Amino acid sequence: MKRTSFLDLKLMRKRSRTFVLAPISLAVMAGCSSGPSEEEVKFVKSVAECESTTSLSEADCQAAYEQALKDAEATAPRYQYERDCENEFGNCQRTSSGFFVPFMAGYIVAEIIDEVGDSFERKHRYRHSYPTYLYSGSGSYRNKIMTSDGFVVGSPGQRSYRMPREALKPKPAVTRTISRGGFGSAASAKSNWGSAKSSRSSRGWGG
Amino acid sequence: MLRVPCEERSNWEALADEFGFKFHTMYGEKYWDESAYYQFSLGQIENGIEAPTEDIHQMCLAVVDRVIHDDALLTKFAIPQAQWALIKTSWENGDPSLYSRLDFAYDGSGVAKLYENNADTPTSIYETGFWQWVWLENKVDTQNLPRHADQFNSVQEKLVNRFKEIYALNPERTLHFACCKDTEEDRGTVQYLEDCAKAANIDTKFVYIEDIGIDKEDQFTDLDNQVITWMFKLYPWEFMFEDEYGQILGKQNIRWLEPPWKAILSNKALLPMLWKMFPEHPNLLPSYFEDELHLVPEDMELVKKPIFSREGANISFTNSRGEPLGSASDSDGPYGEEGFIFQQKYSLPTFDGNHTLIGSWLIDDQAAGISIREDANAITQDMSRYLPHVIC
Repeated sequence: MKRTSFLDLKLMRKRSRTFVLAPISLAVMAGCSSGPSEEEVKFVKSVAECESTTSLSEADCQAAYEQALKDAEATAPRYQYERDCENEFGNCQRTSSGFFVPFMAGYIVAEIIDEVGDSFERKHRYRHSYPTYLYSGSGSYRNKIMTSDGFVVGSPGQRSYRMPREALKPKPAVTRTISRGGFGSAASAKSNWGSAKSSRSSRGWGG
Repeated sequence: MLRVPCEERSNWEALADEFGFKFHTMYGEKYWDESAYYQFSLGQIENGIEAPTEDIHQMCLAVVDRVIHDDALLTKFAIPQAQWALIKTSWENGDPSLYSRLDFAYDGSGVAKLYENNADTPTSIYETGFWQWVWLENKVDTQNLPRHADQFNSVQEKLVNRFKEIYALNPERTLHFACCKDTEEDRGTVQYLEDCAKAANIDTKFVYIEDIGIDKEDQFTDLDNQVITWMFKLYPWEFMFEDEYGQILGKQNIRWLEPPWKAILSNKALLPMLWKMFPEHPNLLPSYFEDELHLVPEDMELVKKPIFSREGANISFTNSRGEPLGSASDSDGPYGEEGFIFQQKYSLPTFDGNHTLIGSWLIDDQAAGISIREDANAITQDMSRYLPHVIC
């Protein structure tokens, strides 16, 4: 056979496609055990709290904190106006690029256990650490812990939280764009050629 | 190799609509044409096309390695000096390639002759990897073709696997797909590749080439101000070099598909270079740089091609000294400023009055399938029709 025997046509249909939205709240999952698609995480407000409520060492707690701070710089929710930021998160600060972002309310850590030798000698390390914010806007998310992209972790005060692994993926870095349109002019210069052949301008640049 | 007229599927336009194949008809003319198909034997496919495709790809990589290390050759390839470092780095880092398409003149009995290598921005991959596959599936299901009818086509499967391999080298990165505005064909091609990347569990986003921005660190951004760290662009490297942002290329932590070293392969200077390094190779046509015309045998007619050109534009026929023959088949277009190369004139085979060109697809370095284009003109241009094929 020189031909692939099966292609999944479902994936290729463009009409009547359904999109699955990422879950917004964890409330419905609270009672479930953590399956392979979920992870148990802890929410801590400081390195000291991290040390006392997790099995991590002081050095790991510090490293996790620094990781979260660094991530916050790149991924915190951004607002053009201070008022908009305050409406949702209370206290906000101005970044070097001129946006307003909320102060990090704490960070969530996911632990990993390395089994060294036999099971009596286990070493705890942190696998993920993510900045989180306390939502203070109106509505049902008031006083809930939230990640940079609006994922609701839960209410503060729980010993631990379960989060889908999907929500724990690193968040993309956002920045401030200072110019646009620096690509594409070579193509439009070429497509202005030969107006007699009207097709040219709408054909592609592949070959 | 035969051209076999056949019935069109009665519902194919509805099906095209369902699968989002929007460019089957362009400017009122048929592009997807299933009123006939081409039939090959297994030997024709395996010995005539598949094996030469993989051999030529290896020869092409040898050319890249030679040109990369020779400034005089980089100049001959009309690559701006400012981009040499970008291209060299991408080659030395082993930046992975996704795909390319070699175009052949082949009539089923002789030896396939390489016309050119579309190594940077090849199109018609959706028609090849998906749409002609569905055509054969339907034809067999409705008993219009025998159950054993096969097709040289593992393009989609290989694409998804290749995306998985490349993703392993770029874990956690989002792959941005980009093409120019106002071209339904390019948009459809890029959507297909994005679908294949999604099937490989890669996070993807789309941005138009013209909408790309930069931040103050010269990182590229999309319309959500997200930093672009991995990008598939259906936009030729030689255009990117010429554009305003061309001068900041190389400053970003970004991976490109196709990688910058493909600028050497999608370049017609590849053809005389192949002939120099692999003279008399049966699948190559004699080819020459402009300053080598004294090497051309007296009675050899030539085709003059611009170093950079797309879709058969600016191609003309000349005598052995490069003087125009004034053929009615000559095509005009916006290319040629950067110089030309000459290739032995070698006509496409004709079937029922149609000139037939075979595109042979490579996913990375593996031959993966073919596409067939037909044109009434001897030089296949952007309005040539696409026909499916079978192996029987």
